[in-house]
This record gives sequence, C-alpha cells and structure tokens, in this order.
Amino acid sequence: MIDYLQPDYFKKLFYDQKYIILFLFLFGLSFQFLWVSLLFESDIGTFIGAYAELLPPFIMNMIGVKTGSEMFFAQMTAFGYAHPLVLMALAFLPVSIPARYIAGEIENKTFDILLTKPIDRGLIVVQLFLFLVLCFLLLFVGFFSGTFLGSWIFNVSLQLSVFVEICLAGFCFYLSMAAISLAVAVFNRERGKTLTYIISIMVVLYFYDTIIRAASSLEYLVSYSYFQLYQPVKYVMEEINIGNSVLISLLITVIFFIISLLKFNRRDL
Amino acid sequence: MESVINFLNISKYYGKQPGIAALNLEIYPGEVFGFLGPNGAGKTTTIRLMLHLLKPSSGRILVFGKNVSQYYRQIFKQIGNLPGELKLYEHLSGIHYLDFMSGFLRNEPRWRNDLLSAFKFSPADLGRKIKYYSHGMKQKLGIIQALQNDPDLIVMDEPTEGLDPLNKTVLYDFLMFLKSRGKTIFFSSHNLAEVEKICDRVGLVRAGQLIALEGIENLKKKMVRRMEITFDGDYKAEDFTMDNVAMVDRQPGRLILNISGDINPIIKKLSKYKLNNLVFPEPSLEETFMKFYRN
Repeated sequence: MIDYLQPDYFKKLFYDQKYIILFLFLFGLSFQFLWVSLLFESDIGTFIGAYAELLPPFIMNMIGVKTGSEMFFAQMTAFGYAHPLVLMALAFLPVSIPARYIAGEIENKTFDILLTKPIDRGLIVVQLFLFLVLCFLLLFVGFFSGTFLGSWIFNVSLQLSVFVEICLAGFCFYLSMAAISLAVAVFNRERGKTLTYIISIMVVLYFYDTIIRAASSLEYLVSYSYFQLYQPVKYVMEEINIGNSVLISLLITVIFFIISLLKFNRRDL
Repeated sequence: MESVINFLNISKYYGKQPGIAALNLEIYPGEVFGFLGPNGAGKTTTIRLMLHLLKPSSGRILVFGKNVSQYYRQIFKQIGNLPGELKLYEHLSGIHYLDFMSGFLRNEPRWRNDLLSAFKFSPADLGRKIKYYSHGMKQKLGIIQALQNDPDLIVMDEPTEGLDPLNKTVLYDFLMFLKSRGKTIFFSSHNLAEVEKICDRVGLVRAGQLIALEGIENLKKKMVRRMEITFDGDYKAEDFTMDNVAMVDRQPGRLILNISGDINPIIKKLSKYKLNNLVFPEPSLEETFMKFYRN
C-alpha cells in the first residue's frame, strides 16, 4: 500500500506535463468566460437564436438545442461545455497520455530501467490514472470557474448547480474515455499505433452518435451511444438523467481500468 | 552455498521460436559471471526474464532465493540494472534522472559522488538535459544509475558499448571494487577481452541454448593458443604433426600453429631447434569462442 503512495512517478508526470495542464486550464477558464460574455454581452446570442430557427431540424437535433425555449441561453451556455473546440481540448489528455506513458515507454524501452526498480507494475497504471483524474478535475474547475466568473461579472442569472452537475458528468465521461485509452495502450507496444487505435475508436463512436442523432428513424439507438453519456444541453433541458450518465461512465471506467491493471501486470515488456 | 540467481529449466518462446530453451544456471555470491554469445543468441532474453520484464513460457527464476515473478518488488531493492539498449528520459537533466531513479530505492546513493568523479561528470554536465548528452555520456549516466545505490546484484547487458578505453577501465575498476565487497555481477557481452579481464565464470549461449559453462581458468586451458615460430634455418614439418596441433601457416623458416590443450610436447620438439623468435600470446577467448560456434 505504501508503494502506491510513493509519489516519484506521479511527480514526474506533472513535471513533464506542467505547461500542457496549465494551458488547458487557462483555455477552459477563458473559453467559458468568453462564451458567456459573447452570449450575454452582445447581440450574438439573439442572432444565434434567429439563425438557429433557419437551420434544418436534424442539425438542431445534432446540437441538441431547442430554439424558442425559455432555457435557450442556458442551453447555449451548456453547449459551450460540448463545443468541438472544448471536446478536442478535453480529449487531448485521455488520448495522448496513456499512449505516451504506456505504449510509448514500452516502445522507447525506458521501462527497462524504471520497472526494475522496487515498484509494483500496477503503480504505473494507478498513478497514471490518478494523474488524469487530477487533470480532469483541474480542467472542469477551470470550465466552471469561467462560467461562474462570466455570470458574476455580467450579472447573468444562470442556475449554477446545473453546471456543477454538467462538470461532474463531463468529469466522469472523460475518465471513462481515459480508462478505455489506457486499456488500448496496455495491449500495444507502439505509441503511434496506440494513438491511431484510440482516435479511431473515438471517431467511430462520435460518428455513430452523430448519425443516430441526425436520423430520426434511428432515434431508438440513442440510449446505446457512448457520447450520450455527456450531453450538457440535454442536462439543462432535463431530457437525460445526469445520475445515470455518471453511473454508467463510472462503470465503464472501473471495467476498463481493471482490464488495464490486469493486463499490464501480466504482459511482456 | 546458496546461489544468488538460479534459473530452473527456464524457457521463453516467441511463437514457436525459442528465445531461450531449458536454461539451468546458478550464479553464486561474489561471482562475476560473463554471459557470452552473438547477437540473437538469447542473452538479452535471459536478462529480461531475470528482471521480470518478460514472463517465462516455463520454468522458474529464483533471485536471492525468491521467485522473481512473485517477489520482484523485494528483489529489485537489491538490484542495479543497466539494459543493453539504454534509453533514458531525455527531457530530464542528468541529476534529475539520477534522483528520480534513486528515489524508488529509499537508500542513499552511496557511490554516486565516487562514480561521478571517476567518470568525470561536472556539475554543469549534470545540470544539462540528457538529450544534449553524447552517446558515451548517456552510457556513463546509465552505469551510474545502476551502481549508485550499492546494489547486491549488478546486472549489465553489454555495459561498455559506447565507452572509450579510459572509461572502460574506470568501469572495470569499479566492478572489481564492488566484487571485493562481495557483490555479485551478471555481465553480458560479446567483447571477449573484457570478459577475460573481469569474469570468474563464463556461460556461452547459442541459438537459445547454453552450450558451455566454465570457470575462466578452465576455459583458458581449453583454449586454442596460437604460436608463431621463426626458425634459424629449416625445420621438419612432421615434427609438429600432433593430434592437438593444427598448422595454420607453413613457410620456409616460419611456422604458425594453433594448439589446444597441453603445450609440453611442442615445447619438447622446439628444444631441438635454434629459434630466431617465438610469439606465444595469452590465449584468446575469441578463438575458443569461435571453435564452440563452429562445432
């Protein structure tokens, strides 16, 4: 147990990634702040509302925002949490970190020294995952702080508790993505291949989600889409139970994390 | 005497191809063991099995009397390892790397300063990132990280790769110093000169099989020795036709022989002649080694 608290590897991860983490935190904070300011301090919000009325229904289905609703601005604020730029920023860590620190280290043979020190192999997986947990915590704190600052400075009335819930759902969702990536990484020994596999899996899942949202005839498949586990706009509209999303995300996380741990302990390096 | 390393019928297969097959080998405390073989013979596979980086297909490895696959964490507290294909964290500085690796061992890096000064590492060198190091400097840093915490068992896979002769000597001296303190050294190499210099016992491996296991002194006795004789006048070739002698080169007044085993009959024959010169160097493992491989 003591070894799992040994912080050397964990500290190295933060040392390696310090600028990226800082950048992502500042990006999250400033993006959400600017998003709120754009929506509420300019006419862009009204313009977007009018423009959205002109869009075909399937596009609106994909975005998930319902025009004409009283909650339109709250929905748009929540959309900031699932904006493609934000999705990319958030997906950066779970995709790249396991590929670099598991498959990459096997490929580079840096594990040949590290794993002949008196540490449990599982420690690498546990601390890597713990590092991602802290990164996501920091990122979602950044996102929420941006929304909070924006609503406070521009005196906007937003139900902030919903945004706390969105952050919780997002945090759990991205943890599950990290666990899936970790599992992919422990089965591989090349960083490039691992990245390709993880990105391909995520792109396929995202396309699947996009298609079933755009085509109303496939609506019955929505409950089986991975990306439905993080739908900030639908949380605002209370169309999805946030508790279920969190629970399923955590279940996926636990399953893939255990697979990663078992495989990494048994594999050849 | 209880062995430090005990390979018990260890095999490792990559698909159907054997990396190492049915290896039985014991290494004793305070011994310097040289593990010899050409590329792809199974040296690195054996070392990686011992260090729990590979799982054996069958068999067990005991280090300090404990099964490696079960007790590797306890065992690794006493091991210093230098892999053959050395890769370091290039974005760290030298000192940061040494601290990072030493941090897992929870004892003071006892020999760090001695090794740094022996290998002539300046504080400025240590402060630089490893990516700016030359190949030789990286190798020296790898050696320092392996030895700095005074391990009881030192495992080195071709440690002198990339070192200049001066630094090779520094390493040999330090290994001999550690041996004098009762440390055990497992040393893989295809550099026979260094094995002759520092090892007590040698194992030869070929195509995944241990083909010879000898004390270095015994091996030297079995060695093929080359003798270059320059006669003052002519000689009779039939004088030198013996079972353990092969004529390598025969010219008027000059003869080169390869002798294996007892040299006394040859010396007796030579006493009948007047010689201008006789060259009889120390036996080379290289030739003995090649003999094993040819067979």
